[in-house]
Amino acid sequence: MSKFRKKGKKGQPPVNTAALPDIVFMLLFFFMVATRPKEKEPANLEVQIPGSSISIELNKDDDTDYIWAGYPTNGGPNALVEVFLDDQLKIDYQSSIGEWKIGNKPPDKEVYDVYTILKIDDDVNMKTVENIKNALADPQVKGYRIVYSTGKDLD
Amino acid sequence: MARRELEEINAGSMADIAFLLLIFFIVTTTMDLEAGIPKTLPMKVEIDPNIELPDVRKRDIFSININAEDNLLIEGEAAQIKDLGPMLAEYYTANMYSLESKPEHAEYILRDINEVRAELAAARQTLAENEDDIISKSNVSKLEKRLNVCEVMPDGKFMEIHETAAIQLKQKAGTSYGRYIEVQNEIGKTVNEIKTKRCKDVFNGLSFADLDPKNEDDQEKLKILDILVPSRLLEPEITN
Repeated sequence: MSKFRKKGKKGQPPVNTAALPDIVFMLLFFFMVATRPKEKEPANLEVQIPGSSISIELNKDDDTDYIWAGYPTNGGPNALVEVFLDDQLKIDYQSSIGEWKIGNKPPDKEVYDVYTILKIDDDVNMKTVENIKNALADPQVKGYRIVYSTGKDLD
Repeated sequence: MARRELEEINAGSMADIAFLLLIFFIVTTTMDLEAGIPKTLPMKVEIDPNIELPDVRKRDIFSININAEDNLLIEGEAAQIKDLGPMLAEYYTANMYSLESKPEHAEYILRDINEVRAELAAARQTLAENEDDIISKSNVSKLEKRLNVCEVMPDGKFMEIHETAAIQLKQKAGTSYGRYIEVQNEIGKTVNEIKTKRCKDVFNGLSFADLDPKNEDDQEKLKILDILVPSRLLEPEITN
């Protein structure tokens, strides 16, 4: 009798991974349906969104444009407020907002059907915010619908 | 020669491809929906300088001032942000159930369905004479809304806040956006509280939080609540 006979069976049978692609595809489809693309975020801009307890969630398929305002990340204490339309820095934002809103609108909609989401740092002064609002409410632009973007955690 | 059997396609890498796609989607998308305080900016209207605008009395305006250092002045008194809610609630509700019990706060007027019908008929008459007149147009739509509310009330009567009653929010150029949102938040919260109370009174204990803006019946109710508890916010131009 051989003393060197292997003990037991020849190792464990391999786990059947045939169902793995199915599971992964299921996950994939879930993510494709349940999420929306991230908005284009401007680079090097510090935006601390204020909190609010009365904020309302937008629908997933509402049309939106983004205006960002904040201070540059490495600007030091004397930095000026920077305003980004989507992810483009605009120094002359007051005059470019109108053209940008009209250029961005879907062909079958009006400018006031598209929400403008204001992502503004809580240290930005109200003069800047007013300038943005005035540029949107211009009778030639009609971007009347705005959303002050806020966090939801505050009670 | 014997035919060779077709080899099976190796599907082992399918999982890898799917994983790759999955990871791509997880990285480039976000789950949480955009949330915020939606507002509609006021339309700029050219008003004929000859038109007489109604007088605005001091009692109609609930004034909030924020200075460049983010300090608050509410109704002429220095105040903290936590005082804003109770003060605003007092302004709204002091005369809500009994006329003129507190003459320094917002005035309420008793509306009766028959009177409103008569007024609406008269206003439509005026509009028919001059169809482009923006003032009579807004008058008709205002009375139509008022009639809507009267029709919902069991006795056809309701107390309506004076039409010039409004919250005035004055800011300085240096006011911070964070403070502004805090104030907006307090105003919104207080108005929602009053709406909750009114909703219970008017719709037999129905909760305001249960109203769904996507449901048509609820939309009507929300419109009525907007007339019962309007939140008209005036934001004068910012001064330095």
